[in-house]
Amino acid sequence: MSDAVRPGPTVLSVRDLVVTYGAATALHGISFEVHQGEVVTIIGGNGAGKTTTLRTVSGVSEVIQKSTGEITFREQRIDGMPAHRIAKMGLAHIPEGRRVFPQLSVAENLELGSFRRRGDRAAVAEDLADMYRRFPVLAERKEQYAGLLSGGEQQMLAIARGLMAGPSFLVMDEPSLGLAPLIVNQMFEIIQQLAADSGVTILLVEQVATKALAVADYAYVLESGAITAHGPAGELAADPLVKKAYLGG
Amino acid sequence: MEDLVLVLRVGLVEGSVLALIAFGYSLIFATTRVVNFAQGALVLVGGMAYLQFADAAFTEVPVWLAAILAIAVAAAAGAAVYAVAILPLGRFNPTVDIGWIITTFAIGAILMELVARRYGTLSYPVPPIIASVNGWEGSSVAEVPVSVEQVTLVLGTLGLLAVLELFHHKTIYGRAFRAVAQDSQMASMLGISVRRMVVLSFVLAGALAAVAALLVGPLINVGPLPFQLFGIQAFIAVVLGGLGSTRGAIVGAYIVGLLAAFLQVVLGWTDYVQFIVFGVFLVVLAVRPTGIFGEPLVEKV
Repeated sequence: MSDAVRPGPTVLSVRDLVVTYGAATALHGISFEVHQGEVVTIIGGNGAGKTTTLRTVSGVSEVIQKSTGEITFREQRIDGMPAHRIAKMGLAHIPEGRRVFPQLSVAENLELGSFRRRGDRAAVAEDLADMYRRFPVLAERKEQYAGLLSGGEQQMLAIARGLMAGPSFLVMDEPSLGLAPLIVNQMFEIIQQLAADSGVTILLVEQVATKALAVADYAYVLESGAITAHGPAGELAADPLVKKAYLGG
Repeated sequence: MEDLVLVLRVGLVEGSVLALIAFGYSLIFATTRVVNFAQGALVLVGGMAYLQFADAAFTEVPVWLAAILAIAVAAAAGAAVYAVAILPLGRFNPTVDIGWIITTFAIGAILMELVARRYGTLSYPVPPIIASVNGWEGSSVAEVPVSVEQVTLVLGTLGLLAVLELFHHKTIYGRAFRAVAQDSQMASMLGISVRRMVVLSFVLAGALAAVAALLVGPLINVGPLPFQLFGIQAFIAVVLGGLGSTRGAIVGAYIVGLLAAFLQVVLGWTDYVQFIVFGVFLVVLAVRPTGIFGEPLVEKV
């Protein structure tokens, strides 16, 4: 892979990250970087360690999980820092499986998205109006319990809730998982739009590699807990090995 | 008519005491999935702290100040229960690692013992916070005497619980609290400190236990025997209503209170009240394990 010049300063840097669950090793010392304003994607098959990577970056982990290595976000070490403090630094994580609060209304879910900047009422109100414009279906259902929404609507809510944090850095885990193809397309349009007009930096994990590589600037391939290739997304998409393994030939 | 009024009086009085205690159980269960078996002990600590500050034999201060101090002491005791019984367990899964059954129970027993060391096991009279309203100290309703203490207890409880429910549902902190109850890990990813919410639930549970103690104290005296029983009955109430649901806790508490009153007043089965309340509890557990308001426990994916 060519060592292309990547724009902007490094926002997130992961060095030699090892994660184990008891006797099983999920990540064997991976390193990667995300630069300001980039959309970076990590592609890889089931069980490659993609979700573990994102969750470790965000500071959430299971009881038996142990990790070593350095994670630096905005020039501050965040490995070992509790999730809520990382969130307060402007990192929003839109997790796999949506994780909306089922027994809170759509509006309440969105309000909680802005918890880290709850004092800033004017900006929050403005962003809320923006979310309802972007996702009209959420405006229609704002008083409904989030648990009653369809999968696609819940995914939109999860994205909108993440954006309500006013993040500078967005971590997205499988936003297309379990969605109908039409909605998957819509989801990627939204991601592209976000990257283009809000200037937010995005780290995206996806099994639908074609789509992910199409929206991303830079990509890493994760296989069995190790990074096996990386490069500008366009180059990786053209790479015969990557094509064979992840893009259906 | 006389019976009806008496059932209502007895039932609402007991239901109110149980509701305050049950609310605390529910708050703690919501944030931690732990049943705080030290809850009864917190009621006792609150009652004895009130005695300590309000009684001339100890440090006598104005009643209102004694009430505030008692609430503060019990709130601190609630925080201590967290620090001693829950914190040392580290990060744990309360549905699998059930050490908290022993630790909360143990700290409850220790608190009870500390109280017994200082005050013995007798019950003591304590002054009411409101002795009269414009000279009114009570009246007869259909030949049933109703005292200002009883009215204060019931209205005070309902008012306080209404404020807490409003806070729970209408403020961003209340919503954050409910978010932690539904998915604490996701809540932390939004910048909510789960530990702060957990500590808050223990502190509030302690404070509410003290309110229960100092409102019921003037009616039945404060001491280990009656207060321990409140802890157990409130636990039954909260399981009836649905663990983790604050509304369920309130409804369950008044059901238990009114049922006990009905058994005593109408049927005269004073000796069998506990027996029957426990019986109903077991039947409900068998028929609807999640309680009246409880959501079925579905594993989140």
